[in-house]
Amino acid sequence: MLNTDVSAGGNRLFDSVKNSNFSTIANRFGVFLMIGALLIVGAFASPQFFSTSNFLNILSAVSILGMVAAGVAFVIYCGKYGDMSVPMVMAISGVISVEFMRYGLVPAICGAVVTGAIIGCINGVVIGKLKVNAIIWTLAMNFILEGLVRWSYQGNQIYPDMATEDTYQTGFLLPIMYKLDKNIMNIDLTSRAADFNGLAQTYFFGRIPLMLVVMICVMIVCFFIMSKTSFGNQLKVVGSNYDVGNTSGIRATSVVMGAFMISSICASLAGVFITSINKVGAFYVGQGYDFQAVTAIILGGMSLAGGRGNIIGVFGGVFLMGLISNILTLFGVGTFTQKMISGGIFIVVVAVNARSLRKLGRDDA
Amino acid sequence: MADQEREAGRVMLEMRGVSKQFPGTLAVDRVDFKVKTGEVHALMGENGAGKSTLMKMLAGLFNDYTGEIFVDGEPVKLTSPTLAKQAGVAMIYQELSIAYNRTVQENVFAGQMPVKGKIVDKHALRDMTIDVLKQVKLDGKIDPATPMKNISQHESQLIEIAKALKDNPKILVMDEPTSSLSTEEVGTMFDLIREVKAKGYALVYISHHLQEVFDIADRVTVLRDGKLIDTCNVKDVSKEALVEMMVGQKMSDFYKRTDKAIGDVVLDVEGLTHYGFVHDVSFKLRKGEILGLTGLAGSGRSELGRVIGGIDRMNAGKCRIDGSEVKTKDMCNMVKHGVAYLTENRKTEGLALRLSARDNIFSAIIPKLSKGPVYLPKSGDGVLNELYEGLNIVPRDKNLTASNLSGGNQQKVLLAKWMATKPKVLILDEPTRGVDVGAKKLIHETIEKLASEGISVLLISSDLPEIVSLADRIIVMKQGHLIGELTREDGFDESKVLLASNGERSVFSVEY
Repeated sequence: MLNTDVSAGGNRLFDSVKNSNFSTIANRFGVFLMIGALLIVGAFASPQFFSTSNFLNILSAVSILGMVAAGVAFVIYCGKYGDMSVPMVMAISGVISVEFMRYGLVPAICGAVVTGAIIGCINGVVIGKLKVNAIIWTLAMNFILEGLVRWSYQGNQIYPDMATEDTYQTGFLLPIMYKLDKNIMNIDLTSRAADFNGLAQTYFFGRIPLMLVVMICVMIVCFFIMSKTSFGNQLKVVGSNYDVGNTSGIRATSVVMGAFMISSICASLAGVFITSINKVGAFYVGQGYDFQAVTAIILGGMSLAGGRGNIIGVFGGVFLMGLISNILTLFGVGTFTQKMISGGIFIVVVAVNARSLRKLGRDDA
Repeated sequence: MADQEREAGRVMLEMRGVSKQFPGTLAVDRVDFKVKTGEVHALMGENGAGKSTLMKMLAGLFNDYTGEIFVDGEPVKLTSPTLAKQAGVAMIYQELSIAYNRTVQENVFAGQMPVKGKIVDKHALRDMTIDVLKQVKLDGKIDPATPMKNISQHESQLIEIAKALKDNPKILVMDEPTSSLSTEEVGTMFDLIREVKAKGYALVYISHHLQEVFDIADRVTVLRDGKLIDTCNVKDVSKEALVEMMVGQKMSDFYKRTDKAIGDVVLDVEGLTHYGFVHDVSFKLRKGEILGLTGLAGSGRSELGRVIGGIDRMNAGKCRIDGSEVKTKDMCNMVKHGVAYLTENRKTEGLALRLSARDNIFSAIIPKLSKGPVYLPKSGDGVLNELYEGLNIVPRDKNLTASNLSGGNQQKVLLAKWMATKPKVLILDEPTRGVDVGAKKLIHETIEKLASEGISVLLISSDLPEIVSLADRIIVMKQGHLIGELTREDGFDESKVLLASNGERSVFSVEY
C-alpha cells in the first residue's frame, strides 16, 4: 500500500513539474506565439497585410490603448486587479486639456497630467491606506467623475473651437478662468483649436504618428520604472504578497499609491490624445478602455495575482489586440461583431490565466 | 443511551500500537493509548511530541495510519472524518469552527437543519437548540437567534462543547479549551467538564498548562518525540516528575556554546505596551547577547517582537537603540536603525512564495541596492553568494521560485533575507519551526555565529531545547506581562523554563 502511495505521489509531482513548465512558457511567451500565429493568418487575409503602412495603421490604432495599458499594468502588477476609473480619467483629462488649450499646448497637456495625478493620488490613498477594494473603489470613482463631467457641462460636449459667451458659464475651470481674466474671450481660438486637434494628426517623416511615438516613449519609461527602479521592485514584492511587503520594511501603502498614480497619469495622457482625435471633449471618450487594457495586459503574460510579467509583454498584448482587430477588419467583420469577439477574448484570457495559475499552485487569482 | 454503556471505568477508546509517518519523521511511533468512560485523560507533551497528530488520527484526518483503534471494544477504521464521527469521536479544536455571521442555532445545527418540506423549520430549530444549550447551562442565558459574533469567547467555547455533545459522542477530545479564557471562566469550564465526566463520557484533554492538568485530569499520558513515555494517575505524580517525563534527557552537547564577550546595551525597551497583548514590558538587550523570550502560546511573546520590529503599534513606552530613542511606528525606519524581525509565519508574512529566492532575500534591502531611484540587483550578488554559502541553501539556483524550496531551505532564505539587512538587533520568532533536523542545527549554529560577531539576538521560541542551549538569559512572559528572568549563572534547564512559562515564580533568578 505504501508503495502505490509513493508512486502515485511521484506521478503527481512529475505531472506538476511538466505542467508548470508548459504553463510558465504559456504565461511568459504566449503572447509572442500568438502574434506569430496571427501574422500567418494575416498573410492569408490580404496581400496588403505585410506592408509598412498596414503595420503603422495597426500600431497607431492601439496607441491610445498602449498608453492606458502601460499605466494600468502597474495596478495589476501590484495585485489590485484593475483600475476601473480609467475611462473617466481619460474623459476628464481631455476636457481639462480643452479648457487649458487656450493658453497653449503645453499647459493643456500639463493640466491633464496634473488632473490625472490628483485622481490617482486619491485612488491610491483610499486603496493603499484605507484598504478599500480596488475594483469597487475605482468603479465608484468612475461614476463620480462621470457625474462631475456631465454636471459641470450640463450634458453638453465641449468643442475646442467653440467660443461664445455661454461657453464660459459652464465647465470645470472655464468660469474661474473667465472671472480671473476677461481677455480670455479674445484669444484666437480657431488657431489654438487647430493646434490641439493637430496633435493627433502630427506625423514624423510624413507617416509615423506622434501618438505612436508618445506611446512607445510611455512604454519605455514604464518599462524602466517597473523593472529597473527600486520602486518597481518594491512593487513586485508588495504585488506578490502584500503582507510580506509590509513586513519587509517596505512602505506598502506608498507603493500602492504610486501604482495608482502612474495608472491615472498614463490614462490622462491618453485622454488628451483621444480628445484630440475626436475633436471634442466628452464623458464617453474613454469608454471600454478599462477592460481592453486589462485584456491586453493579461494577454501580455501579466498575472492577475500580481508581481509577475513585464512591460514588454504588455506591449505584445497591446500589439496583439491591434492585430486581431486589423485582421478581423480585413476579413470584413463589422465593428459590433468585433466588440463581441473582444469581450470573448477577455473572458478566455482571464479564464486561462486563472487556470495556469492554479496549475502553478497559485490559485489566488 | 443505555446506562450500561456509560458505566464508569469501561475502556471506551483503545489505540494499540498506532503510528503515523510524515515525510522525514515518524510523528507517532507505536503509541498505546486508552481512555475509560467517566475519566478526564490529559494528553501532554512538548511542541512536536505528537499530541495533535495522535488526535488528528482519532478525528479521521489521516487515511494511512498503522495500528489498531478500538472504540467500545469494536475495531474501527478511522480513515475519514465522517467515519470518526460515526464511531462516536467528537473534537473541539483550539481554533473554534464558527460562522460568525450566522446565529447560534444555525451554528449548532449547521448541516442538519430540521426542515418542513424544503424550508427550515425555525421553531423546531429554536426548540432543539435550547435543548442542546441546556447541557452546558446556557439555556435562558443565550437566545438561539443571537448572531454568533455577539457571543463572548467563553460562551462560544461552551456552545462548541454543546454542539459536540448533541451528537451523543462516546469520546470527547478538547484541545487547549482554556487557552483564551479568564481564571473565572476556566472555573466554569471545569465545572462543566466534571459534569460531563459524571455522565460517563470519555474525555481527552490536551493542554500545556500543568496546573490545569492537576486540577481536572484523572490520568495523564505523556508523549515525547512521537513515543509514549508513560500513562499514570495524576494523584501519583508530581509536577516535577511530569515535566521530567515531557522533557526527558536530551543530548546536551548538541549545540556548542562558545564563550563570547557581551558588550553594552544595544536595545533598551521601557514600559512597552500594545493594548490587549503586551503590557508595560521593560528589558535590555546587550551587544552579542542572545536573549531568550518564552512563554505559553498567547502570552504576548510574538506581539512583543512585532512591536519592536515596527509591524504592530506601540501604544505606550519607549524603545532606545544605542541610547537614542527611535519611533517604532514605521518598519522601514526600524530596518534602517538595524532592527530585523523574522516572522513566525513564514508562508504568509515571511516569504513571497511566488518570487525567486533572490527577490525574496533582496526584498528588505531594495533601497540599499539602489543608486538614486535605479535598482541595481547585481550589486547584491556578493552578499547573496556569501549567504548562500554560509547557510548552505540548496539548490544553489538563486532564481528558483521560493515555493519550490523545501521548508528548511525556505526558512534559511528567510533568515538570509534579514541577515542581508546587516542588523544590530535580530528578532527571531520561532526560527526553526517546521524545519528538518539538519536545517535546524545549521540555523542554531548561524545564530551562535551572528551573536559572536556582535549582533544582539532576541530569540522568541517555544522550543525548549533550542532556547535553553542558545540563550544567555531567558525572560518569560505570561498574559502579556514580563514575569521573570532566568540567568545562566543561576543555571537553567528545560524543566525550569517549562515551569517558569507556567508561571511558577520560585524558579526565577530575577522576578518582576
